[in-house]
Amino acid sequence: MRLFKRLLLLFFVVTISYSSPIFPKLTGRVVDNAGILSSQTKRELTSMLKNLETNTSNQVVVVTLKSLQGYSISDYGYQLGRHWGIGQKGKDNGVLLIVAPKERKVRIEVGYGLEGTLSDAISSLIIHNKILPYFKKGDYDKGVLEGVKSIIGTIKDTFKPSKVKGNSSDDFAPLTFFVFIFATVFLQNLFSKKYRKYFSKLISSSFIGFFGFVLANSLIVGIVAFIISFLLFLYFKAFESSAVLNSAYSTYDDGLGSGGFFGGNGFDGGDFGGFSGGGGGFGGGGASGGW
Amino acid sequence: MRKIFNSILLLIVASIFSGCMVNNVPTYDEEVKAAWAQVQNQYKRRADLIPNLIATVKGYAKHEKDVLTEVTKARSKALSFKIPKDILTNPEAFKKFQQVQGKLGSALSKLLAISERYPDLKANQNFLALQSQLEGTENRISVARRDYINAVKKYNLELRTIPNKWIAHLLYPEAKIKQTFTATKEDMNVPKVNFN
Repeated sequence: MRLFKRLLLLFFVVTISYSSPIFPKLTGRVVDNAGILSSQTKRELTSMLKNLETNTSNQVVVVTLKSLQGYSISDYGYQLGRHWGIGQKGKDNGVLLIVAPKERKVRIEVGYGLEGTLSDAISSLIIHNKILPYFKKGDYDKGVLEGVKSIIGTIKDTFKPSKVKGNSSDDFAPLTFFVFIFATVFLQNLFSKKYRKYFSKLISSSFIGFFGFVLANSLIVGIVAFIISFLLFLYFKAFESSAVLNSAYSTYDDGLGSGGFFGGNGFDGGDFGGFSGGGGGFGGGGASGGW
Repeated sequence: MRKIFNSILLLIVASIFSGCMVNNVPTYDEEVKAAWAQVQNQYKRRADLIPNLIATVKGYAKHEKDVLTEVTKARSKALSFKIPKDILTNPEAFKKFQQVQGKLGSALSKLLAISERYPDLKANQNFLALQSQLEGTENRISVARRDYINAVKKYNLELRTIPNKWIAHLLYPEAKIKQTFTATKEDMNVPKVNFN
């Protein structure tokens, strides 16, 4: 067992040393790591990009980097796109606008699905005609805004969202499950021992419900999974064994520790409800420029 | 009762694990094939861009005939190179393929370098579009090559390491080590050191 653990560790070390560049965290639709954009610009970009995703499902992310860590921007760009999984799975409709002020490089990285519309030639035109004139004057805000507007203008008629998402319910659904878990844990401490076992069952089944929701990306599936598992828990004595409960509790702790599944809530940009990549693919399409 | 349950669970877990290992060779083989198809696609795409590029450059840089013919020749050689079916396991054919494409690549970069000398050409919108497309395609080629290298690495590792080697030997005796690109600097992901 010990050997196995060591091998596993070794494996991780090896994989980490392979996946070369260090990527910033996806904290929202605008990741301003280099700190070159004003908060006004960030808000404006975020709302434009959010609108775009609602209407077309295309995901565009603006990222500014402190450093390219010695990689060329095209080399860094597609790996960052893959790492974050920008764009929807299957559609591969993600775009990254990458700015590296230290190296004075900019790149539009285009996912497989948009290579036809936002071609290399058009990306290059946007960089040279819309972005670089402002960057040369040191106006990053205006350059990025103009660039993003042109990108949106180019890809606004490409994809349709696969299903109309009820925005508010979609954003809050995962929260309700968490609130539920918190509430049960809280109540559990208030009530006598007699009722405690029901609470643990409630917690476990709300977890299952939550996983159902995450996996199927549908609130109804989550609720159904919750009800079924709760009933199952009530009927099956076997599940009362402490092992299941313990594992449920530890999952609960892990979930809190790692910050949950919806990594990187972009609260700063008014992007309430979180933002995460949809699993889109990148193959090196797009264009780069420097100033 | 519990014991029976546990052993059944163990059996299921074990079969899942061995099931994964049994299917590794064909799964990785498919991944290699997909990555290879992508490599070929991108090379094809590059070759398709060339006639337009040459026509545009010719209008502005007539006396650069040597470079222009070099590109044309390298392109027709790359296109006429018949890719044998067993190319992925045939070191010679693979090397030849790499050479032919490498020659075309260097001829093209020469062509782009000389076009720097012609301001009118550089201002031509058509040329700029072609140039960015070519750059994009070169970038896609290097991405596709790297993906292929990684896929082959995984596949070859499966055939070379224990215990997967035994399983592969037993179940897939026809599986052979696959050829891969000799890594260029970029393929190796070596960061360029920047001293400013």
